[in-house]
Amino acid sequence: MNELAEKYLRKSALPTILCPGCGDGTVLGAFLKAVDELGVIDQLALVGGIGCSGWLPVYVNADTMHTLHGRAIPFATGLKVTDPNRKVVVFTGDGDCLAIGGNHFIHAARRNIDMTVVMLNNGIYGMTGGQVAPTSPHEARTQTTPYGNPEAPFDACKLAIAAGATYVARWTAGHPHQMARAFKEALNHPGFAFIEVLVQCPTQTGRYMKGGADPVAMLEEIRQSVVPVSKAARMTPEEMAGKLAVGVIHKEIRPEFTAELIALNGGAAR
Amino acid sequence: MKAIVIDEVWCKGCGLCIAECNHEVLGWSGRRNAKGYNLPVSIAPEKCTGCGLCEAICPDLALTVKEGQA
Repeated sequence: MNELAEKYLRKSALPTILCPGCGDGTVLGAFLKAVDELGVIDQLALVGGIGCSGWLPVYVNADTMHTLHGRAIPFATGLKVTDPNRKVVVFTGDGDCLAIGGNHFIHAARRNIDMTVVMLNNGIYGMTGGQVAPTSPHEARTQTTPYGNPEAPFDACKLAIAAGATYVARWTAGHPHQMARAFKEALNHPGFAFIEVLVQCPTQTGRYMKGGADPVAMLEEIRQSVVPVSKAARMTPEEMAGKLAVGVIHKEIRPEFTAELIALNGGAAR
Repeated sequence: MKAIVIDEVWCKGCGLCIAECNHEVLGWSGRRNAKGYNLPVSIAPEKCTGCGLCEAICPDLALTVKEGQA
């Protein structure tokens, strides 16, 4: 087994429950790499929502909360406010974060509370059986849209920027090294950091949208569907159609919520 | 030389490591683990450059690139 796994995972809970070829495990590996390089395992507080992605914190031998569907960010907000020295990381899925937890997400971004939200986007509700999600592509066939999805998907990074997130990055499960670097930056960022990771779901997205569960082909397709931000800036909207930019999309420094709250209460918030 | 060590209990035989390698170091072993998943194996260890892509992509954290013989 992997050295990082040996060091940081709860061996009794493994192997993971994730399906063969699921990109979520790659994200876990990249996250462990970032944590190892920063040496912050003792400061971490991991919060997971519901869905396959919500399982990731459970495997890490750190302080962990597995919370209600869509409510990972409110739990994390409470945690951060009562224990401001923690590095709070939320693992959430596209349905968890943008559908049922959409309101919590935009308000946490607006407050600029110091936490890292990792959203694993597989474009479908994977754990519950392949229902249409707010990130399913237009005209995609899912279990609940057998004639094609009439809705347009969310661009989660644009939503995060518009809501006020101060660090926004997007990578895919096919970029584990770049993803680990983004995790490091996000963990050190003093404010709301949002990282969207496009992951392959061979079981549900593969079955309903791609006609087969081939993680290798799906990962390659995801890689082909993204362009680096620097290149995307030079491309026309027509050329960018159906493509997403990857990299660090937005970065700024704004007053942070917990620090503001402590200042307001004269330190009483501790 | 680098050796690729695969944890046969954790591996789910997705084949991402085989596809990810640019030097065709990994291939199928033809063996299955206790759960019936096909297991990959290092078929050309002399070609391995130790880049670690297979280790980074493995969703089950079952693979390690180590220094020396397996």
